[in-house]
Amino acid sequence: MSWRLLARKDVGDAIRQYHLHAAVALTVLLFAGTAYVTARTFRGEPAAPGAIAGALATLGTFLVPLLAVGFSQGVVVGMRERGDLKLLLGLPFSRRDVVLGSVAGRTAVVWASVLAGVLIGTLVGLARGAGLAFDLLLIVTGMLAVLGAVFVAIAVGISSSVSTETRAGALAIGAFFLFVFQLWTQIPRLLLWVVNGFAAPATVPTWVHVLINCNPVLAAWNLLATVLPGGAAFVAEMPATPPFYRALPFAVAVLAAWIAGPIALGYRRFDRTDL
Amino acid sequence: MAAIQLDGLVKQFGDVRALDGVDLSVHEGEVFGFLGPNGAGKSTTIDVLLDFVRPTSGTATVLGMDAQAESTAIRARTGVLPEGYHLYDRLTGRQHVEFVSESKGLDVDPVAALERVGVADAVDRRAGGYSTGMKQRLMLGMALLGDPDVLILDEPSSGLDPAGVRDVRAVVRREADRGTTVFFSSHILSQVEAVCDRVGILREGRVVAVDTVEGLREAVGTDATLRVTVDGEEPHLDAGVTAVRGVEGVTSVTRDGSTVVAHVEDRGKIEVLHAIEDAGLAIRDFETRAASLEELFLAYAEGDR
Repeated sequence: MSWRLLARKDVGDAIRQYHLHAAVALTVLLFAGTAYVTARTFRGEPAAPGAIAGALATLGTFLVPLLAVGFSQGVVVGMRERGDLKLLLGLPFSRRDVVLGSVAGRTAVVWASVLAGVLIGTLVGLARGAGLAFDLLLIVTGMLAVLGAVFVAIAVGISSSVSTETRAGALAIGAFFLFVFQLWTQIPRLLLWVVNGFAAPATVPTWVHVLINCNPVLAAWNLLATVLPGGAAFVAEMPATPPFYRALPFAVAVLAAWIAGPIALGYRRFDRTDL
Repeated sequence: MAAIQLDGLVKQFGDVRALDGVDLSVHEGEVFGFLGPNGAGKSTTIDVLLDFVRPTSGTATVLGMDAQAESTAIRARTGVLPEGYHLYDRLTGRQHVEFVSESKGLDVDPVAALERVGVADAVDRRAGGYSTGMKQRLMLGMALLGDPDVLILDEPSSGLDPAGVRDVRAVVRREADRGTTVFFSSHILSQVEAVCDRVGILREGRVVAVDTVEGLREAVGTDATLRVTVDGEEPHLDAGVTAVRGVEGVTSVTRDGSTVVAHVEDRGKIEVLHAIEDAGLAIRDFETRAASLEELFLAYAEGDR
Protein backbone atom coordinates (compact mmCIF):
# COMPACT_ATOMS: atom_id res chain seq x y z
CA MET A 1 0.00 0.00 0.00
CA SER A 2 1.32 3.41 -0.96
CA TRP A 3 0.54 5.00 2.37
CA ARG A 4 3.11 2.76 3.99
CA LEU A 5 5.76 4.11 1.68
CA LEU A 6 4.75 7.64 2.65
CA ALA A 7 4.76 6.74 6.33
CA ARG A 8 8.28 5.42 5.99
CA LYS A 9 9.31 8.54 4.16
CA ASP A 10 7.72 10.69 6.87
CA VAL A 11 9.72 8.92 9.57
CA GLY A 12 12.82 9.30 7.43
CA ASP A 13 12.10 13.01 7.13
CA ALA A 14 11.70 13.26 10.90
CA ILE A 15 15.09 11.69 11.31
CA ARG A 16 16.76 13.79 8.62
CA GLN A 17 15.36 16.99 10.06
CA TYR A 18 16.30 15.88 13.56
CA HIS A 19 12.68 16.13 14.68
CA LEU A 20 12.85 12.61 16.02
CA HIS A 21 15.99 13.39 17.93
CA ALA A 22 14.45 16.51 19.42
CA ALA A 23 11.23 14.74 20.42
CA VAL A 24 13.07 11.84 22.02
CA ALA A 25 15.53 14.10 23.78
CA LEU A 26 12.79 16.29 25.20
CA THR A 27 10.71 13.36 26.38
CA VAL A 28 13.65 11.50 27.85
CA LEU A 29 14.86 14.58 29.68
CA LEU A 30 11.50 15.39 31.21
CA PHE A 31 10.53 11.83 32.03
CA ALA A 32 13.93 11.04 33.50
CA GLY A 33 13.86 14.25 35.50
CA THR A 34 10.41 13.48 36.85
CA ALA A 35 11.41 9.94 37.73
CA TYR A 36 14.50 11.19 39.47
CA VAL A 37 12.56 13.64 41.57
CA THR A 38 9.72 11.24 42.32
CA ALA A 39 11.98 8.32 43.18
CA ARG A 40 12.53 9.46 46.69
CA THR A 41 10.10 11.12 49.03
CA PHE A 42 10.74 14.29 50.97
CA ARG A 43 12.54 12.40 53.62
CA GLY A 44 14.77 10.57 51.20
CA GLU A 45 12.99 7.26 51.44
CA PRO A 46 12.35 5.32 48.28
CA ALA A 47 8.94 6.14 46.91
CA ALA A 48 6.09 3.69 46.91
CA PRO A 49 5.55 1.61 43.81
CA GLY A 50 3.24 3.44 41.51
CA ALA A 51 4.53 6.88 42.42
CA ILE A 52 6.74 7.11 39.36
CA ALA A 53 4.06 5.67 37.12
CA GLY A 54 1.67 8.29 38.45
CA ALA A 55 4.12 11.14 37.98
CA LEU A 56 4.89 10.07 34.43
CA ALA A 57 1.21 9.79 33.66
CA THR A 58 0.55 13.30 34.91
CA LEU A 59 3.48 14.74 33.00
CA GLY A 60 2.66 12.65 29.95
CA THR A 61 -0.91 13.82 29.60
CA PHE A 62 0.49 17.30 29.16
CA LEU A 63 3.68 16.57 27.25
CA VAL A 64 2.54 13.91 24.80
CA PRO A 65 -0.32 15.97 23.30
CA LEU A 66 2.06 18.95 23.09
CA LEU A 67 4.65 16.90 21.25
CA ALA A 68 2.10 15.25 19.00
CA VAL A 69 0.47 18.52 18.01
CA GLY A 70 3.73 20.39 17.77
CA PHE A 71 5.31 17.95 15.36
CA SER A 72 2.23 17.09 13.34
CA GLN A 73 0.33 20.30 12.74
CA GLY A 74 2.55 21.39 9.87
CA VAL A 75 2.96 18.13 8.05
CA VAL A 76 0.38 18.31 5.25
CA VAL A 77 -0.07 22.05 5.03
CA GLY A 78 3.72 22.43 4.88
CA MET A 79 3.81 20.12 1.89
CA ARG A 80 1.12 22.22 0.28
CA GLU A 81 2.75 25.58 0.88
CA ARG A 82 6.22 24.49 -0.21
CA GLY A 83 5.15 22.57 -3.29
CA ASP A 84 6.19 19.11 -2.07
CA LEU A 85 2.59 18.09 -2.50
CA LYS A 86 2.77 18.71 -6.23
CA LEU A 87 5.74 16.41 -6.44
CA LEU A 88 3.97 13.75 -4.39
CA LEU A 89 0.65 13.97 -6.16
CA GLY A 90 2.38 13.80 -9.53
CA LEU A 91 3.27 10.27 -8.49
CA PRO A 92 0.72 7.48 -7.98
CA PHE A 93 -0.16 8.54 -4.43
CA SER A 94 -3.70 9.47 -3.55
CA ARG A 95 -4.63 12.22 -1.11
CA ARG A 96 -5.76 9.44 1.18
CA ASP A 97 -2.24 7.99 1.11
CA VAL A 98 -0.85 11.38 2.05
CA VAL A 99 -3.13 11.76 5.08
CA LEU A 100 -2.80 8.19 6.34
CA GLY A 101 0.93 8.10 5.70
CA SER A 102 1.40 11.31 7.66
CA VAL A 103 -0.67 10.05 10.57
CA ALA A 104 1.25 6.78 10.68
CA GLY A 105 4.63 8.45 10.37
CA ARG A 106 4.05 11.07 13.04
CA THR A 107 2.46 8.54 15.41
CA ALA A 108 5.59 6.42 15.05
CA VAL A 109 7.72 9.39 16.06
CA VAL A 110 5.52 10.15 19.08
CA TRP A 111 5.46 6.52 20.16
CA ALA A 112 9.23 6.28 19.87
CA SER A 113 9.53 9.29 22.17
CA VAL A 114 7.06 7.88 24.70
CA LEU A 115 8.81 4.53 24.77
CA ALA A 116 12.22 6.09 25.14
CA GLY A 117 10.96 8.42 27.86
CA VAL A 118 9.30 5.69 29.91
CA LEU A 119 12.27 3.36 29.47
CA ILE A 120 14.84 5.87 30.63
CA GLY A 121 12.51 7.10 33.35
CA THR A 122 12.17 3.55 34.62
CA LEU A 123 15.92 3.04 34.63
CA VAL A 124 16.44 6.27 36.51
CA GLY A 125 13.82 5.26 39.03
CA LEU A 126 15.46 1.89 39.51
CA ALA A 127 18.82 3.52 39.94
CA ARG A 128 17.40 5.71 42.63
CA GLY A 129 16.07 2.69 44.41
CA ALA A 130 12.39 3.37 44.02
CA GLY A 131 9.91 0.58 44.09
CA LEU A 132 8.53 0.12 40.62
CA ALA A 133 5.21 -1.29 39.59
CA PHE A 134 5.96 -2.51 36.09
CA ASP A 135 2.38 -3.35 35.33
CA LEU A 136 1.36 0.21 36.13
CA LEU A 137 4.15 1.59 34.00
CA LEU A 138 3.08 -0.59 31.10
CA ILE A 139 -0.50 0.58 31.34
CA VAL A 140 0.54 4.20 31.59
CA THR A 141 2.72 3.77 28.51
CA GLY A 142 -0.26 2.34 26.66
CA MET A 143 -2.47 5.22 27.72
CA LEU A 144 0.11 7.79 26.60
CA ALA A 145 0.52 5.99 23.28
CA VAL A 146 -3.21 6.19 22.68
CA LEU A 147 -3.27 9.86 23.66
CA GLY A 148 -0.37 10.48 21.32
CA ALA A 149 -2.22 8.86 18.45
CA VAL A 150 -5.29 10.96 19.20
CA PHE A 151 -3.43 14.24 19.08
CA VAL A 152 -1.48 13.27 15.97
CA ALA A 153 -4.83 12.52 14.34
CA ILE A 154 -6.27 15.86 15.43
CA ALA A 155 -3.20 17.76 14.26
CA VAL A 156 -2.99 15.98 10.89
CA GLY A 157 -6.72 16.49 10.42
CA ILE A 158 -6.19 20.20 10.96
CA SER A 159 -3.12 20.21 8.72
CA SER A 160 -5.03 18.57 5.89
CA SER A 161 -7.96 20.92 5.96
CA VAL A 162 -6.32 24.33 5.89
CA SER A 163 -4.22 26.04 3.27
CA THR A 164 -1.69 28.02 5.28
CA GLU A 165 0.74 27.01 7.98
CA THR A 166 -0.31 30.02 10.01
CA ARG A 167 -3.89 28.83 10.15
CA ALA A 168 -2.81 25.30 10.99
CA GLY A 169 -0.65 26.57 13.81
CA ALA A 170 -3.43 28.70 15.24
CA LEU A 171 -5.95 25.87 15.16
CA ALA A 172 -3.42 23.47 16.65
CA ILE A 173 -2.73 25.78 19.57
CA GLY A 174 -6.46 26.21 19.99
CA ALA A 175 -7.00 22.47 20.06
CA PHE A 176 -4.24 22.03 22.60
CA PHE A 177 -5.69 24.62 24.93
CA LEU A 178 -9.16 23.27 24.43
CA PHE A 179 -8.33 19.74 25.43
CA VAL A 180 -5.31 19.91 27.66
CA PHE A 181 -6.09 23.03 29.57
CA GLN A 182 -9.57 21.94 30.33
CA LEU A 183 -11.30 24.61 28.33
CA TRP A 184 -13.38 21.77 27.10
CA THR A 185 -14.76 21.32 30.56
CA GLN A 186 -15.96 24.87 30.78
CA ILE A 187 -17.97 24.89 27.58
CA PRO A 188 -20.71 22.47 28.60
CA ARG A 189 -20.94 24.19 31.97
CA LEU A 190 -21.30 27.53 30.22
CA LEU A 191 -23.92 26.06 27.93
CA LEU A 192 -25.78 24.74 30.94
CA TRP A 193 -25.65 28.10 32.60
CA VAL A 194 -27.08 29.76 29.50
CA VAL A 195 -29.72 27.11 28.96
CA ASN A 196 -30.74 27.35 32.57
CA GLY A 197 -31.56 30.98 32.20
CA PHE A 198 -28.18 32.37 33.11
CA ALA A 199 -28.12 30.73 36.51
CA ALA A 200 -26.44 27.69 37.95
CA PRO A 201 -28.92 24.86 38.46
CA ALA A 202 -29.16 22.82 41.63
CA THR A 203 -27.94 19.61 40.07
CA VAL A 204 -25.78 19.09 37.02
CA PRO A 205 -27.70 17.14 34.38
CA THR A 206 -26.18 14.05 32.83
CA TRP A 207 -25.65 15.56 29.38
CA VAL A 208 -23.17 18.02 30.83
CA HIS A 209 -21.13 15.19 32.34
CA VAL A 210 -21.32 13.28 29.09
CA LEU A 211 -20.02 16.22 27.10
CA ILE A 212 -17.25 16.90 29.57
CA ASN A 213 -16.08 13.31 29.37
CA CYS A 214 -15.87 13.53 25.63
CA ASN A 215 -12.58 15.34 26.08
CA PRO A 216 -9.98 12.83 24.90
CA VAL A 217 -7.60 13.70 27.73
CA LEU A 218 -10.31 13.03 30.28
CA ALA A 219 -11.29 9.87 28.45
CA ALA A 220 -7.69 8.72 28.65
CA TRP A 221 -7.70 9.24 32.41
CA ASN A 222 -11.00 7.37 32.66
CA LEU A 223 -9.46 4.56 30.65
CA LEU A 224 -6.50 4.47 32.99
CA ALA A 225 -8.68 4.49 36.06
CA THR A 226 -10.77 1.53 34.96
CA VAL A 227 -7.87 -0.54 33.63
CA LEU A 228 -5.50 -0.08 36.52
CA PRO A 229 -5.57 -2.73 39.21
CA GLY A 230 -7.18 -1.46 42.35
CA GLY A 231 -5.13 0.72 44.63
CA ALA A 232 -3.45 2.91 42.07
CA ALA A 233 -3.23 5.95 44.25
CA PHE A 234 -2.58 8.51 41.58
CA VAL A 235 -5.85 8.11 39.81
CA ALA A 236 -9.03 9.62 41.05
CA GLU A 237 -11.07 7.04 42.84
CA MET A 238 -13.42 5.28 40.47
CA PRO A 239 -16.65 4.11 42.13
CA ALA A 240 -17.40 0.40 41.93
CA THR A 241 -20.03 1.01 39.29
CA PRO A 242 -18.98 4.17 37.52
CA PRO A 243 -21.50 6.23 35.55
CA PHE A 244 -21.50 5.14 31.90
CA TYR A 245 -19.67 8.22 30.76
CA ARG A 246 -16.72 7.32 32.92
CA ALA A 247 -16.72 3.62 32.15
CA LEU A 248 -14.38 1.79 29.85
CA PRO A 249 -16.57 1.34 26.76
CA PHE A 250 -17.44 5.04 26.60
CA ALA A 251 -13.82 6.06 27.11
CA VAL A 252 -12.63 3.71 24.39
CA ALA A 253 -15.34 4.97 22.04
CA VAL A 254 -14.41 8.59 22.69
CA LEU A 255 -10.73 7.95 22.02
CA ALA A 256 -11.47 5.93 18.88
CA ALA A 257 -13.74 8.71 17.65
CA TRP A 258 -11.07 11.33 18.25
CA ILE A 259 -8.65 9.31 16.14
CA ALA A 260 -10.98 8.40 13.29
CA GLY A 261 -13.03 11.59 13.23
CA PRO A 262 -10.34 14.24 12.65
CA ILE A 263 -8.63 12.04 10.07
CA ALA A 264 -11.87 11.46 8.18
CA LEU A 265 -12.92 15.11 8.30
CA GLY A 266 -9.45 16.38 7.46
CA TYR A 267 -9.18 14.00 4.54
CA ARG A 268 -12.61 14.92 3.23
CA ARG A 269 -11.77 18.58 3.19
CA PHE A 270 -8.37 17.86 1.66
CA ASP A 271 -9.92 15.72 -1.03
CA ARG A 272 -12.41 18.40 -2.01
CA THR A 273 -10.08 21.33 -2.35
CA ASP A 274 -7.84 22.38 -5.17
CA LEU A 275 -4.15 22.44 -4.46
CA MET B 1 -8.54 6.15 -28.01
CA ALA B 2 -7.22 9.61 -27.49
CA ALA B 3 -4.28 9.79 -25.14
CA ILE B 4 -5.73 12.98 -23.67
CA GLN B 5 -9.26 14.19 -24.18
CA LEU B 6 -10.75 17.41 -22.88
CA ASP B 7 -14.43 18.14 -23.40
CA GLY B 8 -15.98 21.42 -22.48
CA LEU B 9 -13.59 21.96 -19.61
CA VAL B 10 -14.59 24.90 -17.46
CA LYS B 11 -12.82 26.13 -14.34
CA GLN B 12 -14.01 29.03 -12.30
CA PHE B 13 -11.87 30.41 -9.50
CA GLY B 14 -14.20 32.73 -7.66
CA ASP B 15 -14.98 35.35 -10.26
CA VAL B 16 -12.12 34.41 -12.58
CA ARG B 17 -13.00 32.08 -15.41
CA ALA B 18 -9.65 30.41 -16.00
CA LEU B 19 -10.95 27.82 -18.45
CA ASP B 20 -13.92 28.67 -20.59
CA GLY B 21 -14.86 25.48 -22.37
CA VAL B 22 -11.65 23.79 -23.50
CA ASP B 23 -12.02 21.06 -26.11
CA LEU B 24 -8.93 19.15 -27.08
CA SER B 25 -7.87 15.75 -28.29
CA VAL B 26 -4.30 14.50 -28.18
CA HIS B 27 -3.59 11.38 -30.20
CA GLU B 28 -1.55 8.52 -28.87
CA GLY B 29 2.10 8.81 -29.71
CA GLU B 30 1.98 12.42 -30.83
CA VAL B 31 3.91 15.34 -29.50
CA PHE B 32 1.47 18.08 -28.71
CA GLY B 33 2.54 21.59 -27.83
CA PHE B 34 0.21 23.73 -25.81
CA LEU B 35 0.82 27.39 -26.41
CA GLY B 36 -0.69 30.47 -25.01
CA PRO B 37 0.09 33.83 -23.49
CA ASN B 38 0.63 34.05 -19.73
CA GLY B 39 -2.64 33.65 -17.91
CA ALA B 40 -4.31 31.85 -20.79
CA GLY B 41 -4.99 28.81 -18.63
CA LYS B 42 -2.29 26.37 -19.71
CA SER B 43 -1.19 25.48 -16.21
CA THR B 44 -4.78 25.25 -15.04
CA THR B 45 -5.49 22.75 -17.82
CA ILE B 46 -2.53 20.65 -16.78
CA ASP B 47 -3.56 20.95 -13.14
CA VAL B 48 -6.93 19.47 -14.07
CA LEU B 49 -5.26 16.58 -15.89
CA LEU B 50 -3.25 15.89 -12.75
CA ASP B 51 -6.24 16.33 -10.45
CA PHE B 52 -4.53 19.14 -8.58
CA VAL B 53 -7.53 21.22 -9.48
CA ARG B 54 -11.10 20.02 -9.98
CA PRO B 55 -13.04 21.30 -12.98
CA THR B 56 -16.18 23.32 -12.47
CA SER B 57 -17.71 21.39 -15.35
CA GLY B 58 -16.63 19.34 -18.34
CA THR B 59 -14.48 16.25 -18.45
CA ALA B 60 -10.85 15.37 -18.84
CA THR B 61 -9.54 11.91 -19.57
CA VAL B 62 -6.05 10.52 -19.90
CA LEU B 63 -5.64 7.15 -21.61
CA GLY B 64 -9.36 6.72 -21.40
CA MET B 65 -9.47 7.17 -17.62
CA ASP B 66 -11.24 10.06 -15.97
CA ALA B 67 -8.71 12.55 -14.65
CA GLN B 68 -10.63 13.12 -11.44
CA ALA B 69 -12.06 9.70 -10.67
CA GLU B 70 -9.08 7.58 -11.66
CA SER B 71 -6.25 9.96 -11.01
CA THR B 72 -3.98 7.57 -9.13
CA ALA B 73 -4.27 4.96 -11.88
CA ILE B 74 -3.43 7.61 -14.45
CA ARG B 75 -0.37 8.74 -12.55
CA ALA B 76 0.92 5.17 -12.46
CA ARG B 77 1.25 5.36 -16.24
CA THR B 78 2.25 8.97 -16.75
CA GLY B 79 5.35 11.00 -16.14
CA VAL B 80 4.62 14.43 -14.77
CA LEU B 81 6.50 17.70 -14.51
CA PRO B 82 4.18 20.26 -12.93
CA GLU B 83 4.90 23.91 -12.29
CA GLY B 84 5.39 25.16 -8.75
CA TYR B 85 6.88 21.93 -7.48
CA HIS B 86 9.44 21.69 -4.72
CA LEU B 87 12.05 18.99 -4.35
CA TYR B 88 13.05 17.49 -1.04
CA ASP B 89 16.03 19.57 0.00
CA ARG B 90 17.56 16.92 2.23
CA LEU B 91 17.27 14.05 -0.20
CA THR B 92 19.93 13.40 -2.81
CA GLY B 93 19.20 12.96 -6.50
CA ARG B 94 19.66 9.26 -6.02
CA GLN B 95 17.14 9.19 -3.18
CA HIS B 96 14.62 11.10 -5.26
CA VAL B 97 14.94 8.55 -8.05
CA GLU B 98 14.66 5.68 -5.61
CA PHE B 99 11.56 7.19 -4.06
CA VAL B 100 9.85 7.56 -7.42
CA SER B 101 10.92 4.05 -8.45
CA GLU B 102 9.47 2.59 -5.32
CA SER B 103 6.22 4.45 -5.71
CA LYS B 104 5.81 3.07 -9.24
CA GLY B 105 7.13 -0.39 -8.50
CA LEU B 106 10.18 0.00 -10.70
CA ASP B 107 13.76 -1.16 -10.51
CA VAL B 108 15.85 1.68 -11.80
CA ASP B 109 19.52 2.53 -11.78
CA PRO B 110 19.62 6.06 -10.40
CA VAL B 111 22.84 6.99 -12.15
CA ALA B 112 21.56 5.89 -15.54
CA ALA B 113 18.30 7.72 -14.94
CA LEU B 114 20.11 10.94 -14.11
CA GLU B 115 22.48 10.54 -17.04
CA ARG B 116 19.50 10.80 -19.36
CA VAL B 117 18.99 14.33 -18.13
CA GLY B 118 22.55 15.34 -17.51
CA VAL B 119 22.74 15.53 -13.73
CA ALA B 120 24.45 12.22 -13.05
CA ASP B 121 27.48 13.88 -11.48
CA ALA B 122 25.27 15.34 -8.76
CA VAL B 123 23.60 12.04 -7.96
CA ASP B 124 24.73 11.97 -4.34
CA ARG B 125 24.38 15.65 -3.64
CA ARG B 126 21.35 16.90 -1.74
CA ALA B 127 18.71 18.42 -3.98
CA GLY B 128 18.65 21.53 -1.83
CA GLY B 129 22.05 22.35 -3.25
CA TYR B 130 21.05 21.97 -6.89
CA SER B 131 20.81 24.98 -9.17
CA THR B 132 17.45 25.82 -10.75
CA GLY B 133 18.47 24.13 -13.96
CA MET B 134 19.60 21.00 -12.16
CA LYS B 135 16.35 20.81 -10.22
CA GLN B 136 14.35 21.02 -13.42
CA ARG B 137 16.50 18.33 -15.00
CA LEU B 138 16.04 16.09 -11.97
CA MET B 139 12.27 16.56 -12.09
CA LEU B 140 12.30 15.72 -15.77
CA GLY B 141 14.43 12.67 -15.08
CA MET B 142 11.93 11.55 -12.45
CA ALA B 143 9.08 12.01 -14.91
CA LEU B 144 10.82 9.74 -17.42
CA LEU B 145 11.27 6.83 -15.03
CA GLY B 146 9.58 3.62 -16.02
CA ASP B 147 8.98 4.69 -19.60
CA PRO B 148 5.49 6.13 -19.07
CA ASP B 149 2.85 6.06 -21.79
CA VAL B 150 2.17 9.76 -21.48
CA LEU B 151 4.38 12.65 -20.48
CA ILE B 152 2.66 15.74 -19.15
CA LEU B 153 5.11 18.61 -18.87
CA ASP B 154 4.33 22.15 -17.75
CA GLU B 155 6.95 24.51 -19.18
CA PRO B 156 9.69 21.86 -19.24
CA SER B 157 12.34 24.34 -20.35
CA SER B 158 11.79 26.85 -17.61
CA GLY B 159 14.93 27.55 -15.64
CA LEU B 160 17.15 25.97 -18.26
CA ASP B 161 19.95 27.55 -20.25
CA PRO B 162 20.03 27.08 -24.05
CA ALA B 163 21.92 23.81 -23.69
CA GLY B 164 19.22 22.62 -21.32
CA VAL B 165 16.48 23.70 -23.70
CA ARG B 166 18.16 21.74 -26.44
CA ASP B 167 18.43 18.72 -24.15
CA VAL B 168 14.73 18.85 -23.34
CA ARG B 169 14.00 18.91 -27.05
CA ALA B 170 16.19 15.84 -27.52
CA VAL B 171 14.49 14.05 -24.63
CA VAL B 172 11.04 14.80 -26.01
CA ARG B 173 12.02 13.61 -29.46
CA ARG B 174 13.54 10.45 -28.07
CA GLU B 175 10.44 9.69 -26.02
CA ALA B 176 8.21 10.36 -28.99
CA ASP B 177 10.25 7.93 -31.07
CA ARG B 178 9.47 5.31 -28.46
CA GLY B 179 5.80 5.93 -28.89
CA THR B 180 5.27 8.03 -25.79
CA THR B 181 2.59 10.67 -26.06
CA VAL B 182 4.04 14.01 -25.02
CA PHE B 183 1.83 16.88 -23.96
CA PHE B 184 3.65 20.00 -22.91
CA SER B 185 2.95 23.65 -22.44
CA SER B 186 5.42 26.28 -23.40
CA HIS B 187 5.93 29.76 -24.57
CA ILE B 188 9.35 29.08 -26.06
CA LEU B 189 8.03 28.98 -29.58
CA SER B 190 11.13 27.86 -31.39
CA GLN B 191 11.23 24.80 -29.21
CA VAL B 192 7.61 23.99 -29.87
CA GLU B 193 8.17 24.44 -33.57
CA ALA B 194 11.10 22.06 -33.54
CA VAL B 195 9.46 19.06 -31.90
CA CYS B 196 5.70 19.24 -32.10
CA ASP B 197 3.51 17.22 -34.37
CA ARG B 198 0.62 19.49 -33.54
CA VAL B 199 0.19 22.69 -31.68
CA GLY B 200 -2.80 24.03 -29.77
CA ILE B 201 -3.14 27.68 -28.92
CA LEU B 202 -5.01 28.70 -25.82
CA ARG B 203 -6.26 32.20 -25.29
CA GLU B 204 -8.31 33.36 -22.31
CA GLY B 205 -9.34 29.86 -21.38
CA ARG B 206 -10.34 28.74 -24.86
CA VAL B 207 -8.61 26.81 -27.60
CA VAL B 208 -8.42 29.16 -30.56
CA ALA B 209 -6.45 26.96 -32.92
CA VAL B 210 -5.21 23.39 -33.18
CA ASP B 211 -3.12 22.28 -36.16
CA THR B 212 0.33 21.35 -37.31
CA VAL B 213 2.75 24.26 -37.43
CA GLU B 214 2.49 24.29 -41.21
CA GLY B 215 -1.26 24.20 -41.05
CA LEU B 216 -1.34 27.16 -38.71
CA ARG B 217 0.97 29.07 -41.00
CA GLU B 218 -1.25 28.45 -43.96
CA ALA B 219 -4.34 29.40 -42.06
CA VAL B 220 -2.93 32.65 -40.86
CA GLY B 221 -1.40 33.35 -44.22
CA THR B 222 1.35 35.47 -42.82
CA ASP B 223 3.61 36.87 -45.40
CA ALA B 224 7.21 36.07 -45.92
CA THR B 225 9.68 38.86 -46.30
CA LEU B 226 11.86 38.84 -49.36
CA ARG B 227 14.95 41.03 -49.48
CA VAL B 228 16.54 41.26 -52.92
CA THR B 229 19.82 43.10 -53.41
CA VAL B 230 20.19 44.29 -56.96
CA ASP B 231 22.59 45.98 -59.36
CA GLY B 232 21.09 48.91 -61.12
CA GLU B 233 20.64 52.63 -61.66
CA GLU B 234 18.06 54.79 -59.96
CA PRO B 235 15.32 54.87 -62.59
CA HIS B 236 15.66 51.13 -63.05
CA LEU B 237 15.36 50.61 -59.33
CA ASP B 238 12.11 52.55 -59.20
CA ALA B 239 10.82 50.59 -62.16
CA GLY B 240 11.75 47.44 -60.32
CA VAL B 241 9.76 48.46 -57.27
CA THR B 242 6.75 49.28 -59.40
CA ALA B 243 7.02 45.95 -61.16
CA VAL B 244 7.15 44.04 -57.92
CA ARG B 245 4.14 45.94 -56.63
CA GLY B 246 2.23 44.53 -59.53
CA VAL B 247 2.98 40.92 -58.65
CA GLU B 248 0.06 38.97 -57.28
CA GLY B 249 0.32 38.27 -53.59
CA VAL B 250 2.60 41.17 -52.78
CA THR B 251 1.26 43.23 -49.92
CA SER B 252 3.97 45.84 -49.72
CA VAL B 253 7.23 46.86 -51.37
CA THR B 254 9.86 49.25 -50.18
CA ARG B 255 13.36 50.06 -51.17
CA ASP B 256 16.34 50.14 -48.90
CA GLY B 257 19.19 51.55 -50.95
CA SER B 258 19.73 48.94 -53.58
CA THR B 259 17.69 46.34 -51.76
CA VAL B 260 14.09 45.73 -52.61
CA VAL B 261 12.07 44.60 -49.63
CA ALA B 262 8.81 42.89 -50.44
CA HIS B 263 6.19 41.35 -48.22
CA VAL B 264 4.72 38.54 -50.21
CA GLU B 265 2.90 35.26 -49.75
CA ASP B 266 5.16 32.25 -50.03
CA ARG B 267 4.02 31.26 -53.51
CA GLY B 268 4.66 34.70 -54.89
CA LYS B 269 8.35 34.79 -54.12
CA ILE B 270 9.57 33.46 -57.48
CA GLU B 271 7.31 35.90 -59.32
CA VAL B 272 8.90 38.76 -57.44
CA LEU B 273 12.35 37.65 -58.57
CA HIS B 274 11.15 37.39 -62.16
CA ALA B 275 9.59 40.83 -61.99
CA ILE B 276 12.81 42.34 -60.80
CA GLU B 277 14.83 40.70 -63.57
CA ASP B 278 12.28 41.73 -66.19
CA ALA B 279 12.70 45.30 -65.02
CA GLY B 280 16.31 45.09 -66.08
CA LEU B 281 17.90 44.66 -62.72
CA ALA B 282 20.53 42.05 -62.03
CA ILE B 283 19.97 40.13 -58.82
CA ARG B 284 23.06 40.04 -56.71
CA ASP B 285 21.65 38.40 -53.61
CA PHE B 286 18.37 37.60 -51.99
CA GLU B 287 17.13 36.51 -48.63
CA THR B 288 13.82 35.06 -47.50
CA ARG B 289 12.50 35.19 -44.04
CA ALA B 290 9.48 33.02 -43.40
CA ALA B 291 6.88 34.23 -41.00
CA SER B 292 8.14 33.07 -37.66
CA LEU B 293 5.99 31.16 -35.27
CA GLU B 294 6.34 34.23 -33.10
CA GLU B 295 4.32 36.34 -35.52
CA LEU B 296 1.87 33.53 -35.97
CA PHE B 297 1.39 33.15 -32.27
CA LEU B 298 0.95 36.83 -31.74
CA ALA B 299 -1.61 36.91 -34.53
CA TYR B 300 -3.63 34.30 -32.69
CA ALA B 301 -2.89 35.45 -29.20
CA GLU B 302 -3.74 39.02 -29.84
CA GLY B 303 -7.00 38.06 -31.37
CA ASP B 304 -6.42 38.98 -34.94
CA ARG B 305 -8.12 35.75 -35.86
